[in-house]
Amino acid sequence: MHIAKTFIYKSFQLIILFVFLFVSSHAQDIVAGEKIFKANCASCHYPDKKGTGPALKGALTRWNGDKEAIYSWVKNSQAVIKSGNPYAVKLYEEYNKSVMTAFPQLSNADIDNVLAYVEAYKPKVVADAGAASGVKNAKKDEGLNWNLLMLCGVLLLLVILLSRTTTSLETAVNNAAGETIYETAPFYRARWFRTALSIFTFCLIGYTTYDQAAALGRQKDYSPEQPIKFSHELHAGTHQIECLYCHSSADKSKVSSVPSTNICMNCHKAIQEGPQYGTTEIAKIYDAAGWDVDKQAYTNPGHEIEWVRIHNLPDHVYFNHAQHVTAGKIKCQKCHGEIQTMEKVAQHSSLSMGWCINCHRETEVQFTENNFYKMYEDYHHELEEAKKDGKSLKITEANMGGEECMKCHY
Amino acid sequence: MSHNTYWRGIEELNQTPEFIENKEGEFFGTDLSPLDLMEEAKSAQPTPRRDFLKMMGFSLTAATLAASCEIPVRKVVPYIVRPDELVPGKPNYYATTFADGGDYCAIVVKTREGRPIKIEGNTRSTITRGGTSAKVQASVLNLYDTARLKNASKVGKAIEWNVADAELKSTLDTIVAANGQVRLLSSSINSPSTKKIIADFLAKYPTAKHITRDAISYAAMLDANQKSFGVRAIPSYSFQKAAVIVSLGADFLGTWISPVEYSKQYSSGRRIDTKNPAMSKHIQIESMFSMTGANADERIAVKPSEMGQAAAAILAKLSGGPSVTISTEVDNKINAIVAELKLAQGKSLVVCGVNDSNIQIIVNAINNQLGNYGNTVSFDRTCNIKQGSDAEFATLVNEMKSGTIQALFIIDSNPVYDAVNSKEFEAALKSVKLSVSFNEYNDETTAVCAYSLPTSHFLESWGDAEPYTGLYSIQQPTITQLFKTRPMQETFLKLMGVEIDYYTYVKNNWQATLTPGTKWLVALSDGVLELPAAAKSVSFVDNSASAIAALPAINKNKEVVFYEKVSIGDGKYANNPWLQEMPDPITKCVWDNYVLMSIAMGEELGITTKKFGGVSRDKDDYEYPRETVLVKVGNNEITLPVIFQPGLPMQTIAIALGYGRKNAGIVGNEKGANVYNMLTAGTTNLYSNTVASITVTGDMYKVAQTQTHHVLSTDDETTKRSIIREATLKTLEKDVARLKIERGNNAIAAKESLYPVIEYKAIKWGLNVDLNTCTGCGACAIACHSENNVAVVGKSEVLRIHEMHWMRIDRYYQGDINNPKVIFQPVMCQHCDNAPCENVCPVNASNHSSEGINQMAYNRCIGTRYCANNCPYKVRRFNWLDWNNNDSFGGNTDMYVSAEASIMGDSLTRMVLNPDVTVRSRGVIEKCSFCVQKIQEGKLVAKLENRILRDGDVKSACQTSCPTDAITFGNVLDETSKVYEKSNDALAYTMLEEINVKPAVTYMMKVRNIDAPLYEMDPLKAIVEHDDEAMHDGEHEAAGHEASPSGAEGKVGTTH
Repeated sequence: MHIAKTFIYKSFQLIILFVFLFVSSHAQDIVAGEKIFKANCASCHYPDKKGTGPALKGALTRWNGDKEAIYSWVKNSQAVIKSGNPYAVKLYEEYNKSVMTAFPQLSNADIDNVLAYVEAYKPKVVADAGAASGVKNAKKDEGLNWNLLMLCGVLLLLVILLSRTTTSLETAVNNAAGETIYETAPFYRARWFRTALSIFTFCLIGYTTYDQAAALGRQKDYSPEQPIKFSHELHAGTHQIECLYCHSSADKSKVSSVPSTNICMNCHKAIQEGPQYGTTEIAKIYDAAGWDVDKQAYTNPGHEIEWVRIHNLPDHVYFNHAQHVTAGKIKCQKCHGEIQTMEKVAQHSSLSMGWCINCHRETEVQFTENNFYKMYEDYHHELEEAKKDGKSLKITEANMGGEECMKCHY
Repeated sequence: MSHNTYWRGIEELNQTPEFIENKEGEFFGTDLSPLDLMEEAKSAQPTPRRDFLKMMGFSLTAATLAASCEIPVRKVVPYIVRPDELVPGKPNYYATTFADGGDYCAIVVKTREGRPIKIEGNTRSTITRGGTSAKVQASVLNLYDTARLKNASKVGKAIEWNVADAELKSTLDTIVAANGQVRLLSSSINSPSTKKIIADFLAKYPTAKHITRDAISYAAMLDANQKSFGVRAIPSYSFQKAAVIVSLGADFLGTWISPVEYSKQYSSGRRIDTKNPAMSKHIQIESMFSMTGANADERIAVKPSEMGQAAAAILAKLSGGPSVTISTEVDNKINAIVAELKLAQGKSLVVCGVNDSNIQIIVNAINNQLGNYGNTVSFDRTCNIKQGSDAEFATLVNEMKSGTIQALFIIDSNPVYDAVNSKEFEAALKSVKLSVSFNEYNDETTAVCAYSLPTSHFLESWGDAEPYTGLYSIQQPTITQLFKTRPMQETFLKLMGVEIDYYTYVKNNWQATLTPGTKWLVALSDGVLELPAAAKSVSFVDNSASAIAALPAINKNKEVVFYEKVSIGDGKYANNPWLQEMPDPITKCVWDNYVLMSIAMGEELGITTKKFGGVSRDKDDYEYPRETVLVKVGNNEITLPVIFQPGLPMQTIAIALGYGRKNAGIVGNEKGANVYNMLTAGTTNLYSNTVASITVTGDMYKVAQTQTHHVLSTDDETTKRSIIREATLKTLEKDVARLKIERGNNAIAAKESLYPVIEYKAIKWGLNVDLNTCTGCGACAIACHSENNVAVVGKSEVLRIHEMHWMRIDRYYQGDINNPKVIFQPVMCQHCDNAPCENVCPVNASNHSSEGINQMAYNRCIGTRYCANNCPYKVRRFNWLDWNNNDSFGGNTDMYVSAEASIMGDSLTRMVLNPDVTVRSRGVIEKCSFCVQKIQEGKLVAKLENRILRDGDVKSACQTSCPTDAITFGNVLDETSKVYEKSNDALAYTMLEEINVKPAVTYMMKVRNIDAPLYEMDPLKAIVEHDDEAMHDGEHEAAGHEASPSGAEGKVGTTH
């Protein structure tokens, strides 16, 4: 499903690109312009709406088509203001006299390209629709499987019915002929077969029951819809934001903590639009934080965001993030999977006890990394001995009591 | 140390057949568990196979249904803006103050995600020095009490606060304009800010007066000090400096004035250093059996009316004053006391808990004669904990009756329940035009007041306290207001037209006087501010002659003593299920009050101990029903069950106050009977009275008593079990030598074990309990409740031996049945290396950790209870019912859980649960885990700080709560640790060492200062060790021991 969605999303991107290619006579300009825009302008400007600075779309018209003025503005805005250009002064006043960064490195051609890009820019609302239709298609696929199964069922029924009919017909024919046929008992009536079948059935039911019962409450691959379509792929993957920036207590507390809305606002005060869902998802953050984009101010108390919890441990399990992240130096991905590639987060590990214990058996204790382990003189001695003898010795978490009940259950 | 015969109760002393039968098994035979029901059905029907199939079918269907249910969608809801100081999953600690009706304790509150869950002592206070009491520990549960008032109300109807304020102001102004009298009635207030507000209020309203009364009166003592010293105040005592302590009826370790402070001081004088043995000698003269009496070296039981004569006799023999008539037996003992007191001039302390000014004046004269003023008793800092005046209150009631009082503001006081003349007060209250009650609960008094303006819990409010002159303490909120309540101070500020909240008021007040500038923040973080004491000279006026003359003659009739229980106290905390279920230190009874009397007196009344064996019990209950008696005092009568209490004087009965509440809440209502109305106002000793008659009613009543369950057989002739070990100071050397030999023998025998020797790497947890300083107060048991989410089961279930306490305090009697000696022994899981519970578990739910913890995996436990049956210490508890309302199929044991226990399952009450500890479900065994959550936390902190584990990183809940530092926890492999030192001490032993289960818990022998006249021991040399500085400074002590290591003693029969 995920793959299908990505595929469709990608195709839509391609289609949009083609549309641009056909519509615009300056195709090359637009692609180069986008690159320059994103690298230099995007932190303060949006193509089509106000950010820290004005929307760039229509800039040329607003400057009365004076390209030269724009060039010099971009390269050194303060000079233009000093020169007394009325529009420049007006702009300066309007944006609370905030000085625009000078970009002397940009060539006139570069600026042209940017202007071409912003003029051709269209908000990507379509992308959302594309993703939604992708979900629908995926669901249809699942439906097909069911149809197939039903078809098989009907066919099987037909086979049984037909075979029964032939048997009955044969018996009827035989009876009519008055012949008595002595049959040997079929194999399925044999004692050995029944015994074997019973044992097999018992084992099967037993195994299935155990297997299913053990899996009760486990949610591997659980990937629910979240109230806001937050993409870890974008944040942790593309933008390389540290996990701990948002999950700030993972290195010092039992819980990693889902960030409070004010953490989102640290960046999203400035970033008002996302590459995939445009403004729709970010607007939800603003709503929750009580932020008014136009006034650029918090205007109401906001409300909590009810995220759906994906990683659920039973109440009788004590898990401490700090122990694993800080003391154990375990990477987040070890348990949570390649989170930086997940558009929508899914539970990567089974979080079963067997899974925990296995890791404790395999993971070597960071003996030299942490002074706490200096207490374990015996182990240090053993490690030294092994090193002398050239043997490889591994002191695992299990050696430290990582398999014991009351390390996690209390 | 000798194998004396110890006994926990009369049933054990008499070895009744039922007792013998029941002590054998861990579980009492007739529990109506589903399995038992099946058993019954099986015997009734000839076809149990069908039942089996039915049950099987049902289980399968139930399991299928459960399995087909979808996994619920769980939400995680972060803050909008997370407070800076809050890290989810990590606790925050706030220093604040437990101040309740004058009672004081400096505390540190642990909060998780903004809700207080545990109270610890604040070590920065030089008053309580980090100690707590059961009451302080339990007070956190009161915060989440469902019975708390939730909004302001007028004659039972809810009103808005601003409406109440406006109405109050206009009514009060009208009253004052017409020159109507206004009274403020409060319990003792030691908050400087509140006192300032009240003073301002009194200045603004000239017809107003402030009257202080305490539920338990200390007025006689205050009045006596007024007469003797011209100061109406309680002095500060230094029990740690006293070589001889004589207490006349003062339960200073349990309930008297400031028990946490006194326990700390007392224990430092009692702790034994075997290399330089010395300890104070404590003599208790009392009329009932108090916890303090149980700790005394000598205990003299006298009738209540004999107390004055005893005091007078001491004074007479000290100073050659007029002699008094007293029984020869008491006289002889007093001669011995006086001999010792004479040798400890200036190093002794005589305290008196009798609410009789004459006796108090005599005691003042005794202390003066001994030169104790300025040494063990001082007026440099006076104690503000109790300030009430009985006379003022009596005047108030008279004024109310005459109709002169127009407005009455009652602040945190419940006279309709606990006043001597409560009926008069209640009737007179009707004539008061404006009656306002400021209380947390709709108690008996609030219910009859016109306005109820609920106050906030102390954990929700700002405030301050000055328990001793110059020693200040700040109270800060640890949670936002749960309900629409308000500190009462704000009402008074509003009445005076001051529109600031109480927080601002307190802060301004402190910054103006005590903490200018940034010092406020330092004081807030410390919780306490201690200014140097100003020497105050008081001159003593000897009124003892007239006081002795005024003493009443010894009453030959039956007398009754009224006392406070350590758990319930004056009755204010009656709605606290932890305290209700806390066994009384002496009687070990829960949930009730009763008539205590000696066995001889019972026999005289026709109640014989033999009846214990004769009366048939209910099938469901372990306890025997008790005879009830009708006690008549004056015009009042009450019917209560009888509990035999060895050690009570003849012709004396004792009844606990604080019971029989009517408006406490679902937990406290109608538990026991209220006996406050049996006190007679104006009598010389308020808390005793003459009994008009006692008659046996013939009705029976069941009292839940924990001493009869989980009994360790003490007098098995064949094994001579070593449960209790004791020594005397005089024979200490011999006793220690004998212990060394016995332990050595045990160690040799232990080598013949089938079990493998466990080798520990770096850490082995161990705990040490010093029986010598343990006073049996029960703070640890309540701390354990709080830390480990231990369930409350209710009286009906305690009757069926189903109580869940992880930690019990065994109380053993020994010796003379008419005046037995007492030993307290806290027993928790002993975490044996060769644990008998571990190898009988069919599913390995009970097993051993690499750090020496006997682990209990609740989710693996299938409830066979084999482990509990096999535990020699009887510390394992089985969850017979769903106590915490957390079963997957909720509500299916509701019919069995009593109302008072089910309150713990309420969503509000459940906020007190420790989120790091599993709430156990029905059908599993649980027991002490050595506070494994704190162990794990301590290790993690060390790892996060990149260092090795230090001694003191991990402290068990029982250890931190202990007011006498009797419990030490730590890593016994760390040779620098305190627990290593203590568990290798010459006094250390393990319980039942001969069965070689190798417990991780060690005990220190009880040492009694008896048979050794103090003048042989050189008391001055003895007590000079315990100067003020070294008193509670554990590290100092540890360092002292380290400096003089002794090789041989440390190696006696080590347990690891």
